[in-house]
Amino acid sequence: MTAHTDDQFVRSLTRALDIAMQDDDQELLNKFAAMRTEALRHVPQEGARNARRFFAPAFSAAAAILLVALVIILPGREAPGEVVAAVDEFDMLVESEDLEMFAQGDIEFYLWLESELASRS
Amino acid sequence: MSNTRLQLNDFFVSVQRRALKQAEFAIGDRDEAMDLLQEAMIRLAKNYSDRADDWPKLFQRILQNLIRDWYRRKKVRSILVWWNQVGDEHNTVEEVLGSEVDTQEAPPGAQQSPEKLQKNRQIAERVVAAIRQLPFRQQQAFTLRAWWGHDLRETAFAMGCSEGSVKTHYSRAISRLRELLGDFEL
Repeated sequence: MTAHTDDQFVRSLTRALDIAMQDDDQELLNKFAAMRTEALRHVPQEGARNARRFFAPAFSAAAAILLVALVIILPGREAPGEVVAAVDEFDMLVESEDLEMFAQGDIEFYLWLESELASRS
Repeated sequence: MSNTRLQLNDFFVSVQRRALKQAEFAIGDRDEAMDLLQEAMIRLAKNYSDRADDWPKLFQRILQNLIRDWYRRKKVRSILVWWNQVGDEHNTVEEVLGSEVDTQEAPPGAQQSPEKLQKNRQIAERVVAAIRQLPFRQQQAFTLRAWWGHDLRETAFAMGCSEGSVKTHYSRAISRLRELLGDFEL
């Protein structure tokens, strides 16, 4: 092994790679040109790009709202672990409010309302 | 052709040969390397044509991801076939270097004798063969840092790893190349 430092060694290697890169024949150059043409065909039109920029946040917001709606609406057993726990807690809260309503005598209000309506008819 | 397309075309011209070689070093097949390069060009054009300042690093990231994905697919299919391709040094050098060196492509002032050209070509063959024997991550780190001239941050971005990992892979690549090319006169 010669006494190259790392830098000298690396420079020698990259020089060799540059030489190895110089094997382009006309056929390869033609292929490169065809590849570039094909790639440039995929550049979006300016209008399409602007539309994508404009609508992307709206799509994201809509997706987020839809996700939240699905999490709340879908039965707990169909949702993943943490979401199941959250939905169960939510159900319990709703149920306890219902019970509280009955306990505080609102049922008496509905009974009174029903009798009032019956007497008017 | 719009200004963006012209700029992007110029960018592709500036990277196409080196990118093709890099893909060839990694996967050992020109046709497949061409396919990867084409895909990388398309993805850049399709998704990032409006980010001209970032083209070099985005293109490199896309290309490296494609090469990595190719490796994964290939390994799943047949690790034995892959090893045979890498191990067959004689064939791979021929594949990589292909046709004769075009002296008109040589750097300015590089008027060299046929003997000198022949010697340079032999050196190039030897170096290419050694680089192709490196593990993929070492090969990536070496070519991106040393050949493309990317800094640590850019290389880490392209490889999708930390700067510390790049340093490790690069250092190992240099050590391994010294082993492989040890008595070879560069």
